[in-house]
Amino acid sequence: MPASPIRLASFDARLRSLPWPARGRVEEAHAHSAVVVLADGGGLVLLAAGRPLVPWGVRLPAEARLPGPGSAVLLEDGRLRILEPGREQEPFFFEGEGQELHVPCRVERAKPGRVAASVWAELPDRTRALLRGSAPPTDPTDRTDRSDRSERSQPGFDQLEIHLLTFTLKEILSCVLRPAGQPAMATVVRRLAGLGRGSTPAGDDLLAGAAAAARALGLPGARALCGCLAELPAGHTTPAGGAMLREAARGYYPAPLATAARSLPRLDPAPLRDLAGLGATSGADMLAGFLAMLEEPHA
Amino acid sequence: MPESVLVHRGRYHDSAFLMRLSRELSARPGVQEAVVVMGTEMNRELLRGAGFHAPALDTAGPMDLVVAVRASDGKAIEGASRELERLLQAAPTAAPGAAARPGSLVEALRAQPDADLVSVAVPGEYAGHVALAALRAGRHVFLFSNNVPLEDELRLKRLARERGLLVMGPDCGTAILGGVGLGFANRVRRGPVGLVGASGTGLQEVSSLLHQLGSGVSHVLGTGSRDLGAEVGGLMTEAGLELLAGDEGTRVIGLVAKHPAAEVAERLHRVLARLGKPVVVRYLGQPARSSADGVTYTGSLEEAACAAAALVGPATAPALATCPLEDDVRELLSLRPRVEGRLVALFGGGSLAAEAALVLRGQGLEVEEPDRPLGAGAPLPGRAHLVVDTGEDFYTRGKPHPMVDQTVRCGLVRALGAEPGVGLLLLDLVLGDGAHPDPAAELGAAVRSARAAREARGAPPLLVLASVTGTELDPQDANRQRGLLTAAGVHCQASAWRAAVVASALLTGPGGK
Repeated sequence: MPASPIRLASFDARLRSLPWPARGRVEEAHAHSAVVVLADGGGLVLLAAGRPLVPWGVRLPAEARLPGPGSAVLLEDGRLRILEPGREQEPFFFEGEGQELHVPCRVERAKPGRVAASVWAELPDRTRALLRGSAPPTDPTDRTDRSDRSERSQPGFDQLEIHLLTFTLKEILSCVLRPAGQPAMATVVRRLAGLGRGSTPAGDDLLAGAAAAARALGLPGARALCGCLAELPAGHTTPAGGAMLREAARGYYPAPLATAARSLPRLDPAPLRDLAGLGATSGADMLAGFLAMLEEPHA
Repeated sequence: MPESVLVHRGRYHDSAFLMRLSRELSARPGVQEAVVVMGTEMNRELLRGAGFHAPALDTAGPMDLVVAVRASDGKAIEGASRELERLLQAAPTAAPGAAARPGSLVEALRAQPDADLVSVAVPGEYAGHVALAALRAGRHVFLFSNNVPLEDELRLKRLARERGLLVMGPDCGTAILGGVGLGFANRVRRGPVGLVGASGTGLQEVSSLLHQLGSGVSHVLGTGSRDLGAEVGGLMTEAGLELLAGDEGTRVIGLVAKHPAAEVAERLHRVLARLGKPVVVRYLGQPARSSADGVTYTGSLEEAACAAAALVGPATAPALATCPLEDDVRELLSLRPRVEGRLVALFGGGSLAAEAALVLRGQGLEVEEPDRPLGAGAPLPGRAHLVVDTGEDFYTRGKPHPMVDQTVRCGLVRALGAEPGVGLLLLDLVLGDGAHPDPAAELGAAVRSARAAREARGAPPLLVLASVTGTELDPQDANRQRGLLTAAGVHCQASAWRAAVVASALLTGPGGK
């Protein structure tokens, strides 16, 4: 046994409420995460050190390794044990209550602040472009000579993607501001889910950001939006996107988004910056969805 | 126009890898558009809207990776397909195949019990724990991680000093030990100059210049940027200097660092004076102080490299000496007697940015180093000349360093197309293992784009200067990189200091300010 137990301090607070002991198996193993399916059908996500916490997530310490597919996972006596054939890992001890990833749905509408001009200038170009509905920023590392593009009337994928994302985001806002916007909202949500680049498509990130902000601000259609997310048919988006949106429907979000939403109606710069830095473009897209719900996000 | 749609069933990668695939395929010759997305219903619809109609598209599902490429001809499509295969094969994959890789320090030491150095690159909050375990196991540590608390650094370095071990870092960008590079290291000739430093790109610049001068390095030991601060007191700098003093292969010792705390500088001078070997020092951001006791203090990284090479003996390939600075300045002044408008310097190397700011201020020019990120397309702050380190934390939060990914810097360069008030752009390229595979191609394209935009607006042309830190042995080949920049109309200088001096001459005009 090591001289001091290895502690797990970063985990979704809901893990404490699971009926322990709980047993599961690693069904998917990725470079930075492993998805565990528990015997009762629930799930658990083991995350590599340094990765942002996600719903039902447990961030492992740096000295731990992510288990491979088929490994058994056991939660018992305040500990997490990973049983991998041919490899021994010391148990990890849960410490503290975990992190709250839930964003309550406010009953009365709150008036949000504005993003300071200096913070606005720091936002990712993609976030600002999505909010303004302006032309997409060209990929600055793109070396392709497209001088003959003008010969084609065909818009490129990127142009279409940004146009649709921007347009549909405005429709979401319009629906969320009206309590009776649900029928139209279901159509709009379906148009956005699964749309765009990324393992969680950009549209899914926009929806998660919008839902979190709508709940935190008590917008009239916040619950309806979450209802539409819950009713998305399986296979409409990627498995990762689908899992995120199911949790979003229940009010649970990746840690940087949950923190930003829970700080509303204030708009502190630090949570916005943290959210903007999440993933490759996920944070920028979530932030666009989030800020769009503020109607007039900056002065 | 030929197109190809490939569906890879059940293939999962994170978004950063998908973006990289898109970018690499788009950059291939003849490729007009390359899209890498998951095969959701909405994405398939969007691809059809973008003109991709291959039947394979109808077979894709949300768990499948779809790669759609449109190119000028079939050959370009074939080339892109081959590149795609190569990239996918090299993709980071997860277990079970990865099970053979050690997953912890204990496993790594079991697998390689003879290793005498541990390289730590886990997130900063955990790095102290892993580095401490490595020291307790009797191994030197190369600590690449940043954001390591100062108290952890102190504890590690005190323990290392007690045990006669080195802690290179935290935030140590480069080291070369007996010809083996760690972190971002240039491939330089082995030779008689040993370097210690608290400046990653500063060490890279000096070691690369030594190579260009026909000399080479025995070892390069990074210490982490806080080592010469009053709190740490130069613990690892002293340890590194002592190691080099006792190393038979080292005849001249070089020290490159930000200027230390005054009391540390004084104590360090006494240490340097009794090493028993000639010493050359470059304290960044400061003019040279008087040399004494066999310690030569220099005013630039280039001067440090030249002084070290001269102390070793006559250089065999005096590349810098055959190109006097005056020639560089004269040539450019003949093209443009004086640049109108502001200078914007966009650096990837923090030490090189600090040197440039010092040079410009030394010429009486007003220089601002923004403490918040510039937004591509947002108005430039203030009216002074701007020296920007795009490796600052506020640019790299959650993003790769500009030495690895130039997205931010290229975006800023392109945005200068709409900034007619900017007359001069200064850039650096830092090559070596671990750095971007072909940075000049991307930066060159961005420069072309900015220039074309200015021309279209009838704005004054943009003059661009750059330096390339690296050697012809680097994977990117410094000569090839300079060629690519030159082809894009960029004036390449032999060192970052030289580029800054030329820039200041162009801004002040003939005769100076």
